[in-house]
Amino acid sequence: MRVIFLLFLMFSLGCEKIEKIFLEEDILDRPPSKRCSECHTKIYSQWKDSRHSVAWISEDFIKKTENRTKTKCLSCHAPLEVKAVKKPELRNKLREEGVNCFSCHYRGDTNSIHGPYRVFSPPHYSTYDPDYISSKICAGCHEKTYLKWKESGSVKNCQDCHMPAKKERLIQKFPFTYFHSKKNLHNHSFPSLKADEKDFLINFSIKQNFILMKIKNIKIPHTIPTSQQGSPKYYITITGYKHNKKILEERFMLTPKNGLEPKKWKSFDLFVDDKPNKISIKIDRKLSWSKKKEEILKKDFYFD
Amino acid sequence: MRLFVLFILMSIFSVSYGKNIKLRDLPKELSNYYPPKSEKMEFVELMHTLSVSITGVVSNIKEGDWQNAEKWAKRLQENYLKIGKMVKKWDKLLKKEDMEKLVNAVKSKDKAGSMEFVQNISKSCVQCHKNYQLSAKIKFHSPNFNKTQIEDPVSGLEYSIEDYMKAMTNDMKMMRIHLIDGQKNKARKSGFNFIKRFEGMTQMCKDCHTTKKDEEIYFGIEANKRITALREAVANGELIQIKKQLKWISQNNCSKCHNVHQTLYLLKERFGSK
Repeated sequence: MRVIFLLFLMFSLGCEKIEKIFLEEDILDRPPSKRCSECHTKIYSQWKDSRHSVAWISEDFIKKTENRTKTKCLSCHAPLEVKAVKKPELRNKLREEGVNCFSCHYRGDTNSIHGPYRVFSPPHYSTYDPDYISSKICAGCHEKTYLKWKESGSVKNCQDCHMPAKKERLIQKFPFTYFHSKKNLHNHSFPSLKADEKDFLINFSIKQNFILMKIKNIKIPHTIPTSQQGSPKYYITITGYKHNKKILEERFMLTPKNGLEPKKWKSFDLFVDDKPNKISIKIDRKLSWSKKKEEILKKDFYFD
Repeated sequence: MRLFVLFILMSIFSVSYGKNIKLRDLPKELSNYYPPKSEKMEFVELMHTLSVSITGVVSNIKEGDWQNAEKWAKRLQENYLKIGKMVKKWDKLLKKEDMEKLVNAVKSKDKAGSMEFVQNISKSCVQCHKNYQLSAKIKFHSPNFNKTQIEDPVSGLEYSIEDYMKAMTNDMKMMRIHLIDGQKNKARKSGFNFIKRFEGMTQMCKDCHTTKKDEEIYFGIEANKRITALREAVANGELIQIKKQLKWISQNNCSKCHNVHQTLYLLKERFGSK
């Protein structure tokens, strides 16, 4: 019944007037993200589980910035407005929400919510913004990763991997849920994803007591590990055996500074007193905010 | 007589060579106005405001612009008194009466009187800076390395900065020793460990040196080239090449960073924790 009434209103008054009748002005005043959850329940709950939602209150961030006193770090952890390829300004209110709904979607200059769709959204003004389907929107804060991605020439953008989409309704609140057809709802938990064996080529060559190990990142279109400022790490452990007897153990630590760049071989030199007939390689990773190592791959190589 | 002269000379020399820098303990409340307790360097900001204000007073008096001189004198007074409110111990060191007299002298356009009180107030600034500025610089204006932990790429353990540096320099020394002793395999192991640890340093540097330009200073394209060349020289056991690359690295990385950070770090270690 309500929908029919709305449709009747739309026909008789036109969309512009409807927008004004249903406008909830506080939404355009950067309220707490909880306010958005009234309609965008799914997106809100995904964001709640994301690192973006704890960007300001994360223990690691507080420690690394000496109680948030390294001022140049702050604006990306509580941005006022996230814009394409531009470092944001630090906002004054609700910093504890980190990178919240309004950081990414509200723009003062248009006084509207920006996003990747042209939508009729009576409670707030909306602006279709193509930046949201481009990696550029992430580049203001994730500049280093963005530049490596750009160099890689990948056709996939940041959102393709870190905001995977599912056909769903943007809004869960009645009657607005029926205002739009189902759309690609991008995951706002921003999963960090985990590489695996198929993402790498690994090559060993042995000459006398010299082992050359080469690893190529063939699929991930940015350096691994990557970060703007955090300390994610990859650990490569090489164990060499001669007739089941361990004769070599060597480890390498990769940081964003010396990580595996897309489509480039990285070489590692190893020396042994005796030539091994089996080499095991194990790659682990540790995310920036985590103390736990996770296994990426484990593989054995045999030699005559 | 000769002995007496010698004694006098010795006293003079011992006095002239006996200059010790004394780092005064700072009032505890001062740390409320510096990171990490404060998000800003509020005390330094106050000092800058005072410095601008006093220049504003003097320059306007000299130009005979008494209206603006009064504006700056009032601003100076307001901010000067803030020192005592922020750090109680320093309240009694302030020349509040002279400050009041300065404002009045400016109001009555008394040039000689104004300059006399400006000088008296300046003396209180100079005295305080003489006693505390060095301590404050060491305590609040230099990075705190004593809690820094670096993950050692060789052992996988967390090291203090001192232990990490020791391990890294030891690798470098052992590489040279083994090479000179003709033990190429051992030299390679030490050399590669040195390179791993050297590259691992960036874990710490990048926390403060965040931009591309900063990175270029502590680990730029040239440093990368040198490390690649060093790796090759280590693999082939070429002592002359190793020395050449190490020389560049020690001049452009080790010395540069030490010159900026080590002196302050050592002073801070002795004093800054108080």
